[in-house]
Amino acid sequence: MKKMLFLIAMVVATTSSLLATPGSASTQQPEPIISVSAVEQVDAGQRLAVAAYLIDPLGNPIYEAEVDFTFEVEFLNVTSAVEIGSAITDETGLALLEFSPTVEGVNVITASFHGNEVFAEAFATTELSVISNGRLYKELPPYRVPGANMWLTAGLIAIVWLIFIGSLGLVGWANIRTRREQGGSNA
Amino acid sequence: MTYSTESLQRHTIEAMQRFSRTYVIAFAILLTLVIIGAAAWIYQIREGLIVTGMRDRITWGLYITLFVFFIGASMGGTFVSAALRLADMGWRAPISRGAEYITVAALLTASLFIFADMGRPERALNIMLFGRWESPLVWDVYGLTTYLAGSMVYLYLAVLPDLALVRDAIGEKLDPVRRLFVVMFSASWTGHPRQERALHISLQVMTVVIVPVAVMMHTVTSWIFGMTLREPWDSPMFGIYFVVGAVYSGVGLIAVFMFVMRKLNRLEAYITDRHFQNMGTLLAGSGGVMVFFQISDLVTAGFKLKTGAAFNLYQLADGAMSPIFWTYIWLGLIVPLALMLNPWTRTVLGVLIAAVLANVGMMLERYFIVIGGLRVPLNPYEPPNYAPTVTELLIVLGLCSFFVLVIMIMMKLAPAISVQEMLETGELETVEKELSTAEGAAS
Repeated sequence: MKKMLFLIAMVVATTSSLLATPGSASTQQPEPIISVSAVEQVDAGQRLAVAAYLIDPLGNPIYEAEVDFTFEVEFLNVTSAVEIGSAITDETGLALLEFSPTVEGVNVITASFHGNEVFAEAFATTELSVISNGRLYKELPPYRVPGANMWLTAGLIAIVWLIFIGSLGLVGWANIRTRREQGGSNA
Repeated sequence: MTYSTESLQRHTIEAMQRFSRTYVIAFAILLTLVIIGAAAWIYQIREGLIVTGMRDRITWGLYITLFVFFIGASMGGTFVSAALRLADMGWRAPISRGAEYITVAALLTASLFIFADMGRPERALNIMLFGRWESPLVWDVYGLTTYLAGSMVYLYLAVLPDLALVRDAIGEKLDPVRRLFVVMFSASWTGHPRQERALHISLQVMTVVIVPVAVMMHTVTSWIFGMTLREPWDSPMFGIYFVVGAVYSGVGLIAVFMFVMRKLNRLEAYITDRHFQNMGTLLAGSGGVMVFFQISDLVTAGFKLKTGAAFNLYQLADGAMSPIFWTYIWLGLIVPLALMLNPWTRTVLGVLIAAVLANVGMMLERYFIVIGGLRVPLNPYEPPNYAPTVTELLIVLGLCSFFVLVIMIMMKLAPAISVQEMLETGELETVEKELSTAEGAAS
C-alpha cells in the first residue's frame, strides 16, 4: 500500500513538473512591468514600429527577454489573437517590432512577456487606429527569375506548334503515299 | 460490317442531311441575331466604347465576363474528348464529337469577345508585333491562338475518317458547297493501314499535348486577374480554381448539347441514359471540387480580411453583388450538386436541369469575379457601379448566337457522332447490348 501511494505521488509530481511552464505557476517570482506604445493612427499598409519596454519591479530594464506582439481579430464572431511577430529586449529593456497593419479599424495590439526562471509573465495593450487609404500595394522593380527569359517561353510555344504541324503532316504524308500507291482519284 | 455499324453510319449521315423545320427556324433566328450583333459592334466601333457601360473604374464588363465563360466552356470539350480518351473511357465515344465542336466554337467565340472589348480592334495585330512579354494579356493571346489551333487540328484528325465516310456514302448527293468541303478535307483517306497507323499516332500525340495546352490556357486566363494588383483577385489558387470551374461549366454545356442533339437527330439509340448518368457523375465531381475551392477561397480571404478583400466579401455577402453571389451559390452549386449526387435525380432531365443551372451559375460567378473585383475602390472614392447598355447586350447576344450557329453548321458538315470512335472503343457493341437487354425486358 505504501509502495502504491509512493508511486502515485511520483506520477503526480512528475506530471505537474512537466506541465508547468517556466514562471507561469510560481507566485514567488516577481512580476515585471511591461508597457507598449505605437502611433495612434496609421494608413493601412504603412510600416510602423511598435515599442515595448520591459522592466523589473524596481525599474531596472530586463535584458534579452523575448516579447511577442499580437493583435485581435474577429472571425465568425470569435475574437482571437493573431501573432504579428516577436522581438528581444535590448539593454534598455526595449523590444521593437516593425510591421504593416492591413486590417482597417481599431487594432488592439498586445505585447506579451511569457515569463522565465526569474520573472513571472506580463502583458500590456495599446490601440492602433488603421485607416484605409485605398491602396495597399506599391509598385516595385520587377523580381527577376534567374535564367528565365522570353526565348524560353517562345521556344516552348514553338515546340507545341511544331507538334501540331507534325501531327497534321504525318497524316498528310500517309495520305499522299497511299494516294500515289492507289494511283489518284479518291471520290 | 455488322448491322449496327451500317445502322450507325446511316443514322449519322441521315442526321447530317436532315434540315428539319426546327433547325431552319433556329438557324434563321440565330443568323438574324448575329447580324444585329454585328451592326451593334459597327456602331460601337464608330462611337467608341462610351456606348458601353464600361468606364475608367470598371474597365471590364460583360465582354470579358463572357470571354472567361467561353474559354471555360471550351475546357469541357477538351476534358470529355481528350482527357477521357487518355483515361481510355469508351463511353465518351458518342459525345466526343460534340465536345470537340463545342471546344472549337467556344474558342472562336471567346476570341471574338476580345475584339468586342477593344476600342480599336484594327490594332489587334499590334499585340503580336509590339506586345510586352511581361504582360499576362500577351500570354493570353499566344495561349488562345495556340489552344485554338491545337483544338482545330485535334478536331480535324478526329473527324477525318468520318469525312471520308460521308464522301464515299453520299458525296454525290450533297450540295456543291458541302461536297467541296467534304472532298477537300477528307484528303484521299481510304482507311489504308498506313493511314490508320499515322492517324492513330497523330491523335495519340495530340491527345497528350492538347490537355496541358488547355490547362495552360485556363491558368493564363486566370492570371489576367491574379496578376493584376487588385486584392480580391490576389490568390495563388486562381489558376486551378479557373480550371475546375471550366470543367464544371464545360461538362454542363456538353450535357445540354447532348440533350438537344439527341432530340433533334433522333440519336436515342446511341446517346443513352447511361451517358447522361456518366455526365452527371462528372458534373457532381467537378461541382464538388468547385464547392471546396469556393469555401477555401472565402475562408482564406475572410480570415485575413485585408481591406480590399473585406470590401469584396461584404459586397458579396450582403452588398451590391449579393443577389448574384447567392444565386450562384444556391442555383449554380448547391442545387446541381444535390441533383447529381442523388441517384434518383441523376436522370436525363435531372442532368439537363443541373447542367443548365451550372452554366447559369458559372456565368454569374465570372460576372462577380470580374465586375466585383473592379468595384473595390483603389482610392478613396465611392464604389463604382456597372450596368451593360443595349449595345453591349446586342453584341453579347449576337456572339452567343454565333457560338450556337457555328455548332449547328459543323453538325451539318460532318457526322455528329464519331463512327470511327464508336467502333474503336467497342461502345457500339455496348450500346447494342443495352438495346437488346431493354427490348428483352420490354417483351
